Amino acid sequence: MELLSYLFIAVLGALIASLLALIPALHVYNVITLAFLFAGGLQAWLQPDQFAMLLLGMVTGYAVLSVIPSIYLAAPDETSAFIVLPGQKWLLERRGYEAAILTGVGSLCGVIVLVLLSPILTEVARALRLVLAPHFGWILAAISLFMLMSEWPKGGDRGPTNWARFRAARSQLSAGLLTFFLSGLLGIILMYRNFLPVDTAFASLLPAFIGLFAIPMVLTNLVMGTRVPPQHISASIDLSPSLLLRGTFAGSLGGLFAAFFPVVTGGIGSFLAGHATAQRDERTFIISQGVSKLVYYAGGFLLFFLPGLHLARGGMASMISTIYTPGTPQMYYVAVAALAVSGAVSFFLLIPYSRFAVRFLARLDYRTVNIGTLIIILIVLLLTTGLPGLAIAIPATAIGLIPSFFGSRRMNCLGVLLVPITLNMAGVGPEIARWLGLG
Amino acid sequence: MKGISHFLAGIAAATFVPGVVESAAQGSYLIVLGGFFGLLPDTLDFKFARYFEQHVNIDPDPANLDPQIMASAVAAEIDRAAETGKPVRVQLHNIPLGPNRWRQYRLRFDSERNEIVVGIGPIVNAAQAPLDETGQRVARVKTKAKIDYTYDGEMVTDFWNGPSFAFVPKAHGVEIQFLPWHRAWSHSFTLAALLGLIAGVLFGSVQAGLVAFLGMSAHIVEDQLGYLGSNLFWPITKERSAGARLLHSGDAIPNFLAVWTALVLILFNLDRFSAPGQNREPLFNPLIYFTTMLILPALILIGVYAWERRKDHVRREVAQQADIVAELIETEV
Repeated sequence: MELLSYLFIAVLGALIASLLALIPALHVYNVITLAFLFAGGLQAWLQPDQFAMLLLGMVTGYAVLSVIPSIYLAAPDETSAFIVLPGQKWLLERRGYEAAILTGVGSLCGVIVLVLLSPILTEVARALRLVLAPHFGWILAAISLFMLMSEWPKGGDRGPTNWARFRAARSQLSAGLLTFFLSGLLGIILMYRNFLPVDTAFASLLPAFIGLFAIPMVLTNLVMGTRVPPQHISASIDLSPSLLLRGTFAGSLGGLFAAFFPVVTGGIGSFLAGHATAQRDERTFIISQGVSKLVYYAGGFLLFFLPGLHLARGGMASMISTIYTPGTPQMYYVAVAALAVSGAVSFFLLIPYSRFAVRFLARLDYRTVNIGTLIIILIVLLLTTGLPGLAIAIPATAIGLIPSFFGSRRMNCLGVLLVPITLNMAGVGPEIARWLGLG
Repeated sequence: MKGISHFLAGIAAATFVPGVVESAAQGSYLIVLGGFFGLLPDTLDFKFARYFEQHVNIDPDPANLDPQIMASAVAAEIDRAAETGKPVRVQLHNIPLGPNRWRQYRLRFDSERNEIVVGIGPIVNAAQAPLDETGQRVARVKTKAKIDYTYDGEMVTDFWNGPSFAFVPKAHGVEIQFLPWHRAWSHSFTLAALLGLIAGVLFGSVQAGLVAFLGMSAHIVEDQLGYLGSNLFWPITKERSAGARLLHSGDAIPNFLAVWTALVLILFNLDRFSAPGQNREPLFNPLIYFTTMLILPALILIGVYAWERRKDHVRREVAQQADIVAELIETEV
């Protein structure tokens, strides 16, 4: 009976997330940050175990259903034609619905992978932690290096001289480096100076993330006057077991890597999964993104329930670890069951939600949608972090707009996390902070 | 192969250099140098070499779009190569028409008839979806020289820039080579040795030199497993040698297997070399570890790959050109 109540609460969490996930640019962590501000009130209604299951359901639901805004509302403009991901490319081809469902199939595969791995996850995580713990520093440095090196030049094809062509090709690569450097600098400042009130200090990176990722996307859509063509609702998806397996393998690797390593986010996991799949077939890539996202968010949170380990990976686990620790080993398997049920419910919600999104987009002006999105983002930002948060988000937005102007990778904005943490692990972080006048 | 395969292979190679893993566990980042040199050959080609090759530009005029003119321009360069006896390099450009609009065209070398075939296609957007189907035409132009062309596919150009070729006169005709600037000097063991020497001197450490040499060599060896091969001992050798023809460099399974193998090797070496510093025994029994983590998965994947390729009887030369096209696509996404 107790198990059923946990599962019911997890499904409730998935249903709440399913509504929130439809609001563009509203990250589930924003909502949970708000929830934590009112955690005292919530604890009168829910036991800590139940609260944890509610959050697990929310994270799982968000991981599955946030594909809707990320595909339907992240429409690229022509300036980003060279850097669009297959999901957005399919949207321009009127195949956004198919891309959303394929990503959902990937998420469902991610749930299955986590359930299948659950009996051995404790031992695997224990062994990996023992072997890899002394090596986190250089692994993070290697990820940063790969991100920077694997961005290839676009352009520079025409020019009066070879040097002119070479210089033209540098602009996008230099913009990528500049984005990484500036976001890294922002990350160092935020790590050594807290600008937020004490009660919201745990959300110090939230305004930076909103500024680096969410606001530039909406502003770019508004400025460029992006239009989305009417979408086709297909009756079936074209997918072979071989493609499904490839996407699932690659996505699981990327997602598990991101879930296990501190600081490595789902975006990096998806980036690595994307590179590990054959990009000639976009279906494999799209599936891998769904798997990776689910495994990162839900799997990362599941690590918190591992008996004897309780690894706090990801924003959610970090927040809840301040008020709750799983008391018994059985809670781990309850969490696995809750993840499976809420994942399945979320997947079945994806189909009607995606149809709704297609009809919604056809009726509403895309510009109005983007203005509404911007207003929601600003309200969430002010509610969670107040005016100081807005002050952080403004320079972050300026940095986040560099990729839009120069056609470079937005992923470089993750320097905000990678740079300060890598420097700290190398033991030079405090010295650099002192040199910058922050120490 | 894909960038991530090369990068991880470079790091895996570095973990075999004595002392590198031990120092990494103490905070040294020397091991990352392996990844850097693992990806360096493609970096040199796609970020530098391609911008400094001397070539003839064939840049179609959107205002006067005539497939006959385009085909004639290509044919003229092939004939020039045959007449002068010297290789000619040509860069074809795309046809941008405005925001999110490109005119698509196709180029084919018909080696049976010694003809260049150019077909003007529809106007397309960035998603390659047709926006305007009017204005499509085809033209054929004969070359005086015999064409030796091994790739059977058409080259389609729209929003990516067009392909570059080397027209190389040989005894049996003018050979058409794709991306002549790729996998040449940058993919040679001689350059790997030279850069290893420089890294060793710069860092003042034999380990650094070995990491650089092995990282870059891992890239060359991986590429050599495919069809195209590289110019392995430039400047002693002048041309790309044939690869081992075990895999296609753009295929998913070989790339995934390369990534997996590198990860398995890295984890094993991190365990066995870090264990003494942590005052513990290594966790992984080599026999069990490699059987379950590497040999069994590799056998399954190789079996699946062989099954998928059972009807894949393309000519070696065709597969070589297909591999190089796949490598170009890799750097464009």
